[in-house]
Amino acid sequence: MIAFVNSLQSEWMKTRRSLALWMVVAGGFFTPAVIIVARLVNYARVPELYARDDFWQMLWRNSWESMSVFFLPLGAILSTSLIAQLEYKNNTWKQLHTLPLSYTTIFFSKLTVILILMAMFFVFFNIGIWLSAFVPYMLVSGTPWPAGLPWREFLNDDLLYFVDCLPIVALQYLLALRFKNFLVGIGLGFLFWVGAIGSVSWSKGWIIPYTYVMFNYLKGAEKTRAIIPDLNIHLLAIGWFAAITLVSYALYVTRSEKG
Amino acid sequence: MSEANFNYTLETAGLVHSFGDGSPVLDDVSLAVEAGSIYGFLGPNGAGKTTTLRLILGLLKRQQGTITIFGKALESHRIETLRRIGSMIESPSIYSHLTARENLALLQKIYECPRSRIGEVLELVGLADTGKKKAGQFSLGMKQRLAIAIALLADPQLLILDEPTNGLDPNGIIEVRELLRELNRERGITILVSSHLLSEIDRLVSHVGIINRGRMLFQGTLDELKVQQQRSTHVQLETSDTAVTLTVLGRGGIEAQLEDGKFVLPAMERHEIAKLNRDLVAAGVEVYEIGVVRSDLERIFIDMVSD
Repeated sequence: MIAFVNSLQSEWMKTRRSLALWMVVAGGFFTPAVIIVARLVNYARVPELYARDDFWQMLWRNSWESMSVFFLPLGAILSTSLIAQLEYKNNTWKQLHTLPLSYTTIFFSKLTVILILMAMFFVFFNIGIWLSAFVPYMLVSGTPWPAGLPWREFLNDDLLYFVDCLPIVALQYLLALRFKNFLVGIGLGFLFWVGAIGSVSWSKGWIIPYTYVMFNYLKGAEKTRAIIPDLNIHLLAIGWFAAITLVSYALYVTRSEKG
Repeated sequence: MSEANFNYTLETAGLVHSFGDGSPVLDDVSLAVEAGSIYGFLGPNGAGKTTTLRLILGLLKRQQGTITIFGKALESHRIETLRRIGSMIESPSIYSHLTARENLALLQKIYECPRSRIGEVLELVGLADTGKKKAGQFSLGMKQRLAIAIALLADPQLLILDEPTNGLDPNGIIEVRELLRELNRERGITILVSSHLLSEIDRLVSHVGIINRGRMLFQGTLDELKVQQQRSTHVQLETSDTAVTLTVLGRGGIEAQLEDGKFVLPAMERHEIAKLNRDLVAAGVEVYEIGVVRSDLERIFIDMVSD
């Protein structure tokens, strides 16, 4: 356990100033920043908007619209690939594998760092959503502060989105460990993502694990062409995550050449 | 499996390795690195040095043969063995977006060595003043030094360095050589260092292993290699008449071989060479060249690997 904690700390230190970390920060705040700009451009409508009873729900859904379809899947694809790429780019796999650490520790501490980065992505996004409500309220005079922030509901939703993106992380991690060429993992990830967008209106779209974050958003949409599966997609996501992680671990541990 | 010899820090026996396409890279490689020695692992590029070192460190899956480090099989004692080894294989492994200190700090967490050790090793390799400069902005020589600092961080008992002087200027090469000698002498660290140039390490090592095309050609102390050098000292002779020269040599009981139009004779004393010269001239042969040829270690190495 101590070895795992040490390895986790070491892995975390590697993310300092890394592109993966910057991407998580930028990705988390991007949509809220766009909303702030849009509100300020149409500032005349802001007081009326903030007076609505469903202000927070509306803001939440507006924010998640682009996040669930674009930024969350793409963020998971890119940040996972970038974390593994740190080792390829710096030629450090061989050093990592000559440290007194078990392969299990190395595999899971790296995966944990990716999951922490994803969690940070959610934290920044949530802070961003709050700021996207707060900044126009501060800058546009006569704007009332919207009451009744349903934070429990939002946290619950966050958790479901997080669970739904886990299969993406697992598969991208497998690809990133398997292929030295950065473009293979990213390219396949994009392919699956485009395939997922096209599959949400297919009755068997739930087979593709990249669709779950999209389904989680679309299930609450008033008008949608998506065919929401009559299945618990969150359980499916956990199942995919566990299965892919297991395969990924087996492939990693049995690899004959380690750096 | 042969019984572990505790005089050796590192032993390999019968290592055989082939790549995916079946092409053999190592054929029966047996290394024996004595405790407290500096072992120079020599061979031209592509001879199998790096593959051997990668096998020793567990970076490649062993196919055939045994690897014993500190008297224990590597596979079954991988973590405890690696805890006592510092290594640098091929090009330096350095996180370019981090500073030298940060690169060491993330490894210090894993080795659980004192934080003060970071400053010590940076001082040792002359990188104590690099401050906030990222490792990606370092020169190749500085990266090489940082990689050596990384290898030394956990105060290892065995240091495995693959061509550690690559990319260093002559001063840097001397400094690294001095550093390794000091580590060996003062801290008793056993060092396995590979190189493709004997001249680069012949003043550093106590033992030598020479590998070519995946096979060990020589293994022993530097003194044993020097004996081989003395054996290869010979007299070279070039004359105007091969037949008469052979007769004169035969009369004097001197064995000779003709190579590229020149006679190669065993080593002789100066006065014997003078007498041979007189005999040849007296027999009417013109002597174009006669003298002692001493092979240096590099020549022996090149002769070995060019066969």
